[in-house]
Amino acid sequence: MYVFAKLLKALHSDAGPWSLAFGIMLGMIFGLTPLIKLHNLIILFLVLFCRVNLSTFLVSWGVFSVLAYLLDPLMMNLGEVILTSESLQGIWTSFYNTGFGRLSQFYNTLTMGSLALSLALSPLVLIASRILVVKYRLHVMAWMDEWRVLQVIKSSRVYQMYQSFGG
Amino acid sequence: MNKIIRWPGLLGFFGIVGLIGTVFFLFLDTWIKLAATNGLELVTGAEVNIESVSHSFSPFGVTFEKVQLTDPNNPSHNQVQADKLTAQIALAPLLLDKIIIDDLTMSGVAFSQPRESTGRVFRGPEATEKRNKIFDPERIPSVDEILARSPLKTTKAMEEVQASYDFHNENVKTKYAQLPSQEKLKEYKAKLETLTQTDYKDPLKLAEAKKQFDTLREELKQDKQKIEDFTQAAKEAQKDLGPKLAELRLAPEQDYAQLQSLIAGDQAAIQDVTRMILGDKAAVWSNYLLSAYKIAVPLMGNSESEQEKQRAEGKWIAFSDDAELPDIWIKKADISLQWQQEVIASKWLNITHQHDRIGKATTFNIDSSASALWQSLKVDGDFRLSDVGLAANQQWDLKGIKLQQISLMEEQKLTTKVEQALMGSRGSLGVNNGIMKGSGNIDFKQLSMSATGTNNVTKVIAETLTSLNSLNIKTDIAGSFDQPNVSFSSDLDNQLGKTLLTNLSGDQTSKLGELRAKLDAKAQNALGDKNTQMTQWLDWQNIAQGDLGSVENMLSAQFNNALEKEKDKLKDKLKDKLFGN
Repeated sequence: MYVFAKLLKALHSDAGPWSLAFGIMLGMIFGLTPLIKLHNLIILFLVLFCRVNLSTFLVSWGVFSVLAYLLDPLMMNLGEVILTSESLQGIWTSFYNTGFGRLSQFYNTLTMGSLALSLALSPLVLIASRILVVKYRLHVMAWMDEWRVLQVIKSSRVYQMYQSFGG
Repeated sequence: MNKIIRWPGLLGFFGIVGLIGTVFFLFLDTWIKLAATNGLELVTGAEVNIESVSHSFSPFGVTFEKVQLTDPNNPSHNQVQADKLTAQIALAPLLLDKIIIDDLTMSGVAFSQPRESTGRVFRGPEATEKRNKIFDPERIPSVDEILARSPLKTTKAMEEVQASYDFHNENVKTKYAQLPSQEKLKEYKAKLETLTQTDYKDPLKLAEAKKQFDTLREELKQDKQKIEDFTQAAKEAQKDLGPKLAELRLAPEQDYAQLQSLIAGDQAAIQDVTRMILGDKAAVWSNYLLSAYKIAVPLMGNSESEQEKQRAEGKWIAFSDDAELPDIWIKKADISLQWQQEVIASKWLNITHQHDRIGKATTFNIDSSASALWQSLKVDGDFRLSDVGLAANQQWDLKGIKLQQISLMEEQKLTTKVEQALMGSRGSLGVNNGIMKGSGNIDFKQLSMSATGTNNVTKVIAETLTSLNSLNIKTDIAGSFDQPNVSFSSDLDNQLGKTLLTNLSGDQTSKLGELRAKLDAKAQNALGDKNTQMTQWLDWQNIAQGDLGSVENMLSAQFNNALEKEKDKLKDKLKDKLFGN
């Protein structure tokens, strides 16, 4: 309910569709990859420094974190394929021998697999998210405002609390 | 620009990073302690305790206080412990997971010290050594048990005699069966006499007789060969079986000599009394001997087990490491071993497990001059780890180590204690491909021991020990580095064995008699049977020898004489007719 309310608030706010879409995209990378990694510090910097919508970022992070449990085996296999690929050995070896490379822990199959998958999906998720936001605002938002379920949500204590905290 | 950038967000970012950094540095000592504890527990497989950890930033260094590594084989004791360990670590290589320690100082290092509480063991000891039930004369095995479980020379000799007999008997029997019978030989003789003594008037009959003679001669030759083959087989059988029978005659005596110690007391106790008497102290001393490697190797970590642990979070792929630095390299270390009230200082250079990367071996040196507890201690050594294993050399020369009130053994049936002694030791140890080989002497002078025993065996041992005023023990070190086998031997073993045999109880004496009788009976059964067989072979051989003589006589008979006679007669007749005599 809280997540849904947060998402609705973002969709119904004045935030631009790109801002919402970037939030979803970066939240996906944050959620799919292991949390305590160097690249997530960069994501955090981008989310906070750029005008990325925090609500969609947090919702997306939560949703993709759950999804990550299901995708872990697939992502580990993908990471192993990438890291053991003959043609990439030179690049990986050079990167492995740098301080940044070691700190990034790219040589872990889950880190590499999840990062590769989320980066590959990023443009798709970004564009699809933007289109969906625009379509929602154009076709669904007015109808949703009238929808009884939404009224119930808006009147719920969680939503009220959320509003009072300025979320 | 402001459409894209959120300036308060930058503050928020630094705020979050700063908060994480603050928490990290506030609890840095705790993180280091946890990491070191877990890492060492992973390597040693037993509980590791670190009392406190502190760090400094310039130069970057860590100090551990009261470090204790539980001995997984003996959890009530520490494998090694140190009062204080300080390491100055190079920061830049840490980014590449390289731990380069410029200077390491360890003080108060001690081995096999009792712990305040028993440590937890995560991996069981590879081999649990069961303590022998020693010095227990009440548990004397029965004579039959001894005979059944002991590798007896009598049994072996019997088996060898039987095997030799089985191998030769069939051959000798077969060849004997093929020999010509006495009737056949008489027949030959009769035929031969007829052929050689008949006066042949008709040349045709003479020629026919010659043919028969040749056939007979051929048969005789074949039979002679058979007799010779049999004689050869019988001689070979005797040559093989004879010495084995002689061994069987001696075997019961030898077995008796060996087994009587089992009746007198525990064989293991008597044969390895030096080790038993030295007891746990032997293990402690051998730990000191191997201390160089025992200190260094655990420090080197275990990358394999680390990888195993992390696998659940994805696999770590290792790429070739271009950096020349080894993963762990302690350039210089000062390690102080604590022994009683004295400190033994050791200097180390280049401790690592990747010696190929630095091109140098790890070296260590102890050179301690006279102190209250010793006259001099000198230990030098080096070691190098490579793909083929550990290669190491070590020499030691320890003089005048003062021992006082050292309890060697505290068993229910025997307690032994060195009241005072001056101990010296000299030797060398080499390790190649992880296999150890070394030897040395441990020399006790001005020795005074006290010992008490509670039964026949242990009383004799106690008396012998208390009468000693010097003792020289030879040590041999062998086996793998992980499981060294340090053996101790001295003349004490033989002395005690002999003394014990002169102090036998009535029961033991009767058992010895029974043992002797059973051994003799065992051998006599086999000896009697096989001696009969040997005698039969000899009889057969004598018969064959006689037959051979008569066949040879027959073969020497000359039928040609009769032929020549007939020729001469014909010549005379011809002369008469020609010259008219």
